[in-house]
Amino acid sequence: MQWIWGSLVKFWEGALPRLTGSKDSASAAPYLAVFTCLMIGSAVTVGVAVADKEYGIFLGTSIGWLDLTVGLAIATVKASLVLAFFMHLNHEVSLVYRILILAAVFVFFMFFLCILALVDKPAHSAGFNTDTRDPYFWKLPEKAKGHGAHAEESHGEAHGADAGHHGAEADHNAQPTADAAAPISMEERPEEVPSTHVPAQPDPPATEASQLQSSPPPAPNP
Amino acid sequence: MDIPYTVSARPDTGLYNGKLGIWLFLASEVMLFGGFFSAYIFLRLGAGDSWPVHEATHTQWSFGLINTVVLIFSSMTMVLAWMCIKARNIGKYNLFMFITCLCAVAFMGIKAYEYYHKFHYDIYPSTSPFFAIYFTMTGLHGVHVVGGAIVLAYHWASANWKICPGYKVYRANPEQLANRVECAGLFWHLVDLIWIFLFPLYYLL
Repeated sequence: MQWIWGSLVKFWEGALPRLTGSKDSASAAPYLAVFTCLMIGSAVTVGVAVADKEYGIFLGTSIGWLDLTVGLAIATVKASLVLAFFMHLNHEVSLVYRILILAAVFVFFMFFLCILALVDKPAHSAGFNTDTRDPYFWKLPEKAKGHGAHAEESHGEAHGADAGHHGAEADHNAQPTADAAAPISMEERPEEVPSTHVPAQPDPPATEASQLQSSPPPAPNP
Repeated sequence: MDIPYTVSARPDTGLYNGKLGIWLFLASEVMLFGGFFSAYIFLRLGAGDSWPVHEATHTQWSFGLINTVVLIFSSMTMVLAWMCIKARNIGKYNLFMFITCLCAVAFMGIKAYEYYHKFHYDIYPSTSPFFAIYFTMTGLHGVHVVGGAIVLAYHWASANWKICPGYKVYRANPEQLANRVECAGLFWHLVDLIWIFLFPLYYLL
């Protein structure tokens, strides 16, 4: 790695004075060397992604996780080069390092929280179910009937997370026929609707104003 | 009355004031974009199979690559401009600042074309979670590019035009303008850093 860096810097130290005609321009050689590395990194990132997606040269078919992993790994290397050389972090006071480490700790903790939140998913769906016309959105275990009364008023997503939380326990006792261990897809779910299903509401009745117009008011009693 | 430590380093921090200030601001920007990257992680992992495949994202990796090259090149010309003003070589400083601002305009031009291409196909932030986070993050990044370009143009004018308020600073203490350019350069490099991470997430998936 040191040899590659050294040779890139030497290359630009020789090329820059010839390009610009001034001997002082050789001091910009590290920046040009970083630029070269960043260009190579971008080319490799795009090359791997295109070769994998459009040509499938690695396994004959496209590997989903390869592009993202290679892309983010190379992006991290590029970012460290920009931080170290362009932003002069390779010789900076320790106060700046401490500020940045604090920010980085909080950012990675934020990423961790998001991934942690996604670990609690409903057993039988790919993500959070927010479709209120789907009977499984309203499905609740029998023992949690107290929550059913709040189902209509509560916000959809909060309820979805709630149902998801109870769904894992419900699979064991509320579904005698379904195999709770093997997850089923949306196409395979049973046609019959659980008892807690709220049927689709019919169209709301005509408003009072239109009723007043259509039917005359009753004649007053004498 | 002069503001102290615009050029000389404070004894307790070891930095001139502007540099500490800009690093604190950059740490807050990292938190801002960190929040949006967390939103991306959350949406993508939560969507599962409904996350669009690359063909359905209407992003062309060629435009993303051109934008990446343009921004990295502008980052390099930014640091070269700072080198030139530290050496009081105003001619080269003007050239490099012009190239940096031109790259910013080119970046926004390509982004505008990409947005137009999406709107032409009736794709808006409300179309799907992918496009919601795509427009939010690239839009916020674009706002940062425009803001950074305005500041860079102001510092460029400060070294050249008498009517610019910063010209007084340049005449009185050129090292202070060099420090201002360094701080603006730090912001510009952060904008480039964010794009370096945005590019694989949205264009290469």
